[in-house]
Amino acid sequence: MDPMAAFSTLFDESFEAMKRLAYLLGADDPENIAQEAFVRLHHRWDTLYDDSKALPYLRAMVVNLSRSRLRHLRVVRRTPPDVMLDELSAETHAMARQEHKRIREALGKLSRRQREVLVLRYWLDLDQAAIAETLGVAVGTVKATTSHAMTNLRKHLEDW
Amino acid sequence: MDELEQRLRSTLTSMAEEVPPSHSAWDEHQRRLALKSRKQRFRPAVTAIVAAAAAVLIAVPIMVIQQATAPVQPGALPETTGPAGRTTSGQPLPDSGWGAKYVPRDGETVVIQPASLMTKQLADKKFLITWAYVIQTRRGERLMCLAQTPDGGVINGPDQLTFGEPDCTPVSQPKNGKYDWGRRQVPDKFLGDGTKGVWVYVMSRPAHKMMLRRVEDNDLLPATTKQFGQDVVLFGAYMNSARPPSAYSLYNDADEIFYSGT
Repeated sequence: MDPMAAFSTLFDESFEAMKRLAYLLGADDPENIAQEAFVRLHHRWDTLYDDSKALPYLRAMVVNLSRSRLRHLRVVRRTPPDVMLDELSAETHAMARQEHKRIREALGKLSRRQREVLVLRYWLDLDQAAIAETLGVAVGTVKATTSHAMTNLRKHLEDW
Repeated sequence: MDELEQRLRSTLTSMAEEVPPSHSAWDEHQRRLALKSRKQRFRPAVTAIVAAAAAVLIAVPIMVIQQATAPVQPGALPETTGPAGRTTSGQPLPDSGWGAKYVPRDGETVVIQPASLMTKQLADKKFLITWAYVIQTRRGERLMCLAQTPDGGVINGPDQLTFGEPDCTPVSQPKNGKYDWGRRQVPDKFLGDGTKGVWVYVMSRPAHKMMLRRVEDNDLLPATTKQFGQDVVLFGAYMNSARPPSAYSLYNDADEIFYSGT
């Protein structure tokens, strides 16, 4: 396939997924992160397109850009005040929504690395080797981090 | 897979579905590539200018030292000069991105250039874009407007009637200490199938980013559309909710919250 056609196909197939990955990792501007990752990929396309390294490169780029963004924002400290919290707590929420809310909050309490591992494992369905490649760590580290992340997640959910 | 893993997978899938699709992502990608290549083209020229400036900065002190140590010549007494020209303290406006062409009517001026709010695909595979923008009438009244054009079309152009007249509502300058000029929910006629709860806000600068809280689940969502004017900023947010956002926060360009409201 023509290199540029291959790039265009990859863009069509993966842009939304990369944007969602950035969002799940906690970035507040996922579209911008996905765009920047594809621009960087484009500049290295000659060396990457032919040997299946493009998608791992893209994933790693989204993870790195999301980390940079989070470092910059320190989002945890910069959330709007819970102006309507009391009123909202009185509302009836569907069970499924409550469940998602609990897990979402528990995810937010995990360390950055633990959250990354869980998102890559349970949303992107990557195996441990692919997660290790994306994060630039050893497979053993992925195993240990996943285990700690699940333990912490379970603990946070029990505390809720 | 145990029960917690299944719950986690379900939650992540649900969260990912909250991210609205980007219909013009490829166009935006092309724009960024063009911007980068333009920057690279100009880089040698910029380098040359910086090098020349550095040479001047080195040369001037040398000349000053030479003059200071040289004997004072008759008629060489320093003359008083006026105050140095002030530089503007304002931040440069952020890149406003690509937008639609706009034909002003009846002496109006554009305060915020049209920003692409959403896109839906037409039967002929072309895209219909919904734009949000702010104009000022000849009498000084400001209006927040929504209009639709096909991709590459012109707002108020000859075929505007085909896609409906722009839909404008007045906004007004907030009192001191407030930043909200006006807001509105985007009417259904502008939305694609299944889209709901799209809001447009006009805020005073230094607003640079906006986060909004959804009523149903208390989730925080960023405004995903923004366009800057000289004194105001337009934000567009997809709340995916039938109810208005319960609260919002405005961030300055240092990513610090400077105002929160409801």
